[in-house]
Amino acid sequence: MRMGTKSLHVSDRYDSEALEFSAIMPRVFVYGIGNPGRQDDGLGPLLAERLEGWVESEGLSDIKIDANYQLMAEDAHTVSEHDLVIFADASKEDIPSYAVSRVEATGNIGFSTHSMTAESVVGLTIELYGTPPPVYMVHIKGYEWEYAAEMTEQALQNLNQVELFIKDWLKNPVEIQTPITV
Amino acid sequence: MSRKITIEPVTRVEGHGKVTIHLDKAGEVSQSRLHIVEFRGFERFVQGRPYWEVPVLVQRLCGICPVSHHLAAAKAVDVIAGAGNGDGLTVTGDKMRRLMHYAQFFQSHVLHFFHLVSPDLLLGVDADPAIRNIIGVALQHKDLAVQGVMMRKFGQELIQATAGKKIHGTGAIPGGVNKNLSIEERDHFLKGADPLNADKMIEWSVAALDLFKDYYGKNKDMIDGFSHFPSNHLSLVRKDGALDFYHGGIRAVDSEGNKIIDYADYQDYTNIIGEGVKSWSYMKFPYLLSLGEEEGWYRVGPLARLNTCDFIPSPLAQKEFEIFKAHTNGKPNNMCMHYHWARIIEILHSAEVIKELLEDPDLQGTDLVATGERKDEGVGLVEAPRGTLFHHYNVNEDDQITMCNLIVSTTNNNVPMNKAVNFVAKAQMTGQTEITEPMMNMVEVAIRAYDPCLSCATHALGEMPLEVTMLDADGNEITSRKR
Repeated sequence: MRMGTKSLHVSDRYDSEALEFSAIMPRVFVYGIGNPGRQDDGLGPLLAERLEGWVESEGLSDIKIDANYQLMAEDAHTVSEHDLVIFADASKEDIPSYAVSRVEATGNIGFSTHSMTAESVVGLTIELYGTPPPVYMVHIKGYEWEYAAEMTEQALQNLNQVELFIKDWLKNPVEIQTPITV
Repeated sequence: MSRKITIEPVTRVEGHGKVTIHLDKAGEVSQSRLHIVEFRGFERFVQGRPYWEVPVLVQRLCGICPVSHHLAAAKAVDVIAGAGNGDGLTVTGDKMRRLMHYAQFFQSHVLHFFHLVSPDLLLGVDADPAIRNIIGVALQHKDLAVQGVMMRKFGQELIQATAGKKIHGTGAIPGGVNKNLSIEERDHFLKGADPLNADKMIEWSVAALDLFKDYYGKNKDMIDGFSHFPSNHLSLVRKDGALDFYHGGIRAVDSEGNKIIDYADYQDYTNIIGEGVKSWSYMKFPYLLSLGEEEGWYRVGPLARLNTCDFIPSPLAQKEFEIFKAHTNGKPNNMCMHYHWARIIEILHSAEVIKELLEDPDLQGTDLVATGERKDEGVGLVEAPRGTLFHHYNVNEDDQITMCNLIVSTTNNNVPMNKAVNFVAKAQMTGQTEITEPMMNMVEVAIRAYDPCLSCATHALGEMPLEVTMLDADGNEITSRKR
């Protein structure tokens, strides 16, 4: 699935005392986005939940897992504190099971909205904190969005595929070439 | 030829709004309407569910202010669980909920001011929308943008510490809370390294107020004159008349400050508030029954709260409240843009209350839940950041919800938001043949003052373009403009 990889540049993001340790263990942040009370909209948070237990069992202490309803301005600060960031969100796009794209910065923010796009979060990171780490968006295909906790069977199958892909990635957290569509 | 102009901030998963401005044959604005599609499916969805699930279930409604729904529902199920009407919780239970609630206020108002309003103030309401946003602010006022980001982070982390988690918090349960605040958690927020501590949050809140007042001093005519009209005002107030976001009785005042209702028990809200309907909108139009549908509409939210309360129970915010009240000689303030001023005073008050609560050893108490005689019906009200939020539930003998009615803050502000748009439309669009960017900006600014939650959706990421379409009397498009 990966078309190519590139090692992360972590040393310039740490102070000298942490250099030796950080050069081995880049700080990785995986962020599930969505509302678990809205069927397949909960794909991102459920992925985060699954990865949380796995990361602990694997002893991958430099991988931080979190989830929230949507991206907000303060996430720019969190992005700035990591060497690799992976957002995961349910998608209504016309993709087969999942897709991975590199998030490029933008300053375009919609009218009166209370959430931010991944692109605008990266844009804000650049303005406030300088060069951001590589940021990716994992789009997981969803189908139903009603008030219910139960996800569709197809969405869960997509999630299973994504989970394998992400776990493989997190064992070797490097930059990857995108787009990827599966 | 009569025409209709449509401004449509379009779709999210559910909930979207559009503005239609109707021109008569002479080109005068005859009517303006803000249409917000309100998704009512939740009230049916919750029927049949056990009542104790409701405080968590309701967070499915909205990813913008889930804590408000969580606590309003919890207060309603407190009544059902026999834990009293806002006065029956343990000291720790009450104060933990308050800490959660004031953290929600803090971060929500901060988002609105720094993210949505400061671009208007610092870059100008006529600035290109492409740069009139938080990134535009970051380019020119980096320190301020950093403050906004870190204040949000402080509030969000405090919510997580009190609600248990960011998504679908479980902190409030029927009759109380499921956790207290540990010493470690307390010290993290009270004495954390700069900037993430309560003192810095207060300092930055004062700075935000100074920023607004400086802008106001230079733009008084615009701020005072932009969409001002008299209205009634409604909120909860504490028994002694103090501002209280978490609990109190319903107070309503008219545009001159005369009390229409004072400290009414909200369990009786159906005898106080009516919910009108219009053929052109799915959203209801609440009004005071005693005044009737035509005269009984009211404002809610920061401006209304500062118009209904007698004082603010924290020292720095009280000083600012006195300045705010002096501006209208103690009378209610009916100026739309003063919502922003009121909102920042509430940011300061929230920060002060958060510090006061963090210093209170009751938060480390272990008596978390109260119980009592079960009832079949409960109403819970809180002041949400955008205004008064009503939750009402009936349950059967099997503890299942049989009826749910919600009146959310944005619904309470339905009439005044329509009037605000109409005010701006008449000033900006009368006699015009073209929709310009400044016209669209003005409509945006009017709506934004109320901080409506046009979308409770949490799936779509931040897309809310603004589209204006001009139609002739037959519905044919004359011209359109989109951003």
